[in-house]
Amino acid sequence: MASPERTDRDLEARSRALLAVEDLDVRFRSAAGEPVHAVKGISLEVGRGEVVGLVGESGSGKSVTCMSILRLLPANASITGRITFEGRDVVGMDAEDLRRFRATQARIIFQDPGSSLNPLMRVGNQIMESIWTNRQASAADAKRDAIEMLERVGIAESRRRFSGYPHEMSGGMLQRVMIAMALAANPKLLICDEPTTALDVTTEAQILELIRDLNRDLKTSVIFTTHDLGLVRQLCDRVIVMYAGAIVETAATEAALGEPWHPYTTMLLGAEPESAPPEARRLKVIAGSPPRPTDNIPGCAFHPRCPLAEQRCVEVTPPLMAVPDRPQHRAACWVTLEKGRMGG
Amino acid sequence: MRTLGVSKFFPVRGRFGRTTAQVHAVDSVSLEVGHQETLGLVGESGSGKTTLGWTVARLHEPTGGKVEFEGRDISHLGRGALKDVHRRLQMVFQNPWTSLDPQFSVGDTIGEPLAIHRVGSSRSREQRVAELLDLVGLRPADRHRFPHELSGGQRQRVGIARALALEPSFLIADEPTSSLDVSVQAQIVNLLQDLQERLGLSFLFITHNLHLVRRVSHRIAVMYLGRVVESGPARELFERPLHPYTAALVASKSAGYESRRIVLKGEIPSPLNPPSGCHFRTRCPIARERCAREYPPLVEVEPGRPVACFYPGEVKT
Repeated sequence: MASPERTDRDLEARSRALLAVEDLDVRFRSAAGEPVHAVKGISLEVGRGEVVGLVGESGSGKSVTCMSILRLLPANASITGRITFEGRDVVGMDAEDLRRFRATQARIIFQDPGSSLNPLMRVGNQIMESIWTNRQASAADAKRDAIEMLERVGIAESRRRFSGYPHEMSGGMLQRVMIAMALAANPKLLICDEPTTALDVTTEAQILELIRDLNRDLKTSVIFTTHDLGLVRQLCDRVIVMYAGAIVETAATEAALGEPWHPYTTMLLGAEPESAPPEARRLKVIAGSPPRPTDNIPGCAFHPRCPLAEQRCVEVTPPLMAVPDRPQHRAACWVTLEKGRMGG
Repeated sequence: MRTLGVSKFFPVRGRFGRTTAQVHAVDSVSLEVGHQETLGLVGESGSGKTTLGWTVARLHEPTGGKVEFEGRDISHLGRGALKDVHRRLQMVFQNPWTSLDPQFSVGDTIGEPLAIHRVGSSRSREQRVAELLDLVGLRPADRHRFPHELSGGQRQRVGIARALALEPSFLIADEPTSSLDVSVQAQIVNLLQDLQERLGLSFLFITHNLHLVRRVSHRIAVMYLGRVVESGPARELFERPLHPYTAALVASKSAGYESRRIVLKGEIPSPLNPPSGCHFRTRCPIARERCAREYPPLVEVEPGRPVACFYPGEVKT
């Protein structure tokens, strides 16, 4: 399907990438009814030191993608495709390899930090555990490092906080603790699954600043999932837009958000209060709602909400295709790639 | 609608149920919402914005000050008199998952206020429910559906239709879109604006999202730890914020690549124990010694631009 030239470039990119996901497909079996097709054959790469934004609304498959990368999905999920991390196959790892991979190479933080911490255990001890999964250290050394981590992520009175319990902390502080625990392992990849959705805006700005600093200072690669294009704009080098389990557009952040080619990206930008023109009181609207993972929409999953939809969009699912003159900018739309971008 | 120095304190009870402290959730707030006007009320958690909304709607009784609605003091009305007020003043809630009764069909939910207030015959109520469905963009067939069959956006439309059933003049919308997807949020925001034009409604729109409130509001008031720190016409406040807290909110998620980020230090202090002087000083990039000593009063530094800061306009976005 792809030209030989493209394939060469892909291979080259893959060898440079820290993480490569190819044709990832995830279905959930349920007791009642049809299996849910949550992720539909997506491919993506994350380079070393790169911050990639994974954008989508509810049901887009962004969280399932993150969980698949760490093999954290429940037993009723069936995964096909390839996931390679530094050239190593993640899907084929045995339990011990997998444990070490999650503890030391790729860490994840979630939207609700409170539920990821043990409420009965002092915060400091939880960070020390994280240090010990990664390397051997004396209790005194591990404690010193844990306190240093707390300082590193901007927690004031780190000594006192070290002995505190999760319930004594605010949501913003807990998210910092989660980041500290992740960093204690000095991972190469940090996956942030909507890490600021439950936080206040001023706290969100602080967490973004922290992630940005870590990426700059430690060269940690980051996958940042969000429904908020504004955050992507402030944080990410590259953006991947997902809709109904598939990637609909991917490009460098400025290109994807400045000159989007997929109608969904274009319309999502118009619907965002942050992105609409300064004078606009009315926001641009996308009719309908994001589909549920149980809805099986033929062709392009966005066609029922798309003003440009034609007959072929109903019949054949468009693949990701390079936009004119921009090999790194790809969009999955029959119409705009033939007739030009949708007017904002 | 007008509030005059409205306060709402909640007692904090210690052992044996004795009151040991008061949380000043809302502290001497004066606001006005004119006819067909939307006032956006912005703040983060603990700012008191929701408590203020509930006090205006008289779901809380104010501890101090006055709430006036259509020229009448409603601060301490009893239940019977409030029932009349609530025909004219209604609320739309944040979470369309919990604010709808799962056992009520859409039609029953929307018709309930009419039945409670014994408006018209059951036939004319049916008629009114049909009108309301159409008004908020639902299909006639949706009246027989139940909340679990609806999407988030559809549920919020039901919540709006229920609020409009008694033809109120004033709606208080408390974070009506914060649990919705971005693409659906825009639909609800535009619907509220349409309804304002068609029905001549006034709105108090409560949200944490300054960018959103800018789209819907004529004027905006920003709250921090129970007090209003700044208010003004939406566009002016957004383009030239005078309070450093407003400036930080405007800078958050701003669309421009080149716009400056203002990252505040620390966290919002507990409303139980707010800092001395200016409540914002612990996080303020320009706080000085004076800010710890005195609370800056809300002063109109320019016509229509009251701000509670000794150094207004110093932090630029």
